[in-house]
Amino acid sequence: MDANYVVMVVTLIIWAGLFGYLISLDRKVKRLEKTNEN
Amino acid sequence: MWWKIIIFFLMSGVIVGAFVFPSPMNPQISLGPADVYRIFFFHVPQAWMASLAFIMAMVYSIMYLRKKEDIYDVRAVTANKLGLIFAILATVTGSIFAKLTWGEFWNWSEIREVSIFILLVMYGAYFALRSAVVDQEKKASLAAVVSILFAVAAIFLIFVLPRMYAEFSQHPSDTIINKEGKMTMGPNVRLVFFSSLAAFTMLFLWINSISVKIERLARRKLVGE
Repeated sequence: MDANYVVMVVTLIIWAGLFGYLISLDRKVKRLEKTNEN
Repeated sequence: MWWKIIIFFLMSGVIVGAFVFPSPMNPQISLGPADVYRIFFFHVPQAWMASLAFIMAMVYSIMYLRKKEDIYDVRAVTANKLGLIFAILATVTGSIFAKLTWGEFWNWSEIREVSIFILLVMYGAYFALRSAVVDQEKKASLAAVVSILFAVAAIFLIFVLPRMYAEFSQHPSDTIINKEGKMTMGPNVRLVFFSSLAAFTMLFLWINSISVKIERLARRKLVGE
């Protein structure tokens, strides 16, 4: 397999992981904001 | 939520495009292996994001000095934090490119590398200053003044100085716009590059909004205690 494709797949996996982390962080912060308001 | 899905697919498309399309290298004027030039699609938007963040921090700092509202200090410090992170990312990707094309990770006679080093030291000093002052209002006012001065210096270091001393730069020139003001990129490179700029800008704004919320929560907690 071409080395470029290997790097591409690894980069996509890292990006998907980062995106998932940001989504979960965003949800946590929203939850904390709501708890803080109450 | 829809714009987060757009960010995901746009950035994924950029990653695929950056590796599938031919390298953006110009073989007539460029050194090193062609594949190394694919880093251009990530390195340049990172440097742009750092510049945008420092300019945003300057605007918020001016607003803080005018209105003395804590939210502007929160926004300024968050933008500077992200600016520093993106500047570090641009330095790391630039060093990798330098090693593979010019043979060494760092070169003190390369004007852009020296400029980014000065920039990193300056913003390191900004955060050192913030942590050295205890009084919140004094800290915010001092940091706002420093942030404005540093953003002006950053614009000079990023956009002016490397063009004034172009003979000390090994950076590929004419990568985006040539001296006649015309686009030098082919259609594929242009598509991936501008999509990358859009994806990084949206990602930056998203991370910035999360960071502002976290900083505000942290300050409320500190005040509450």
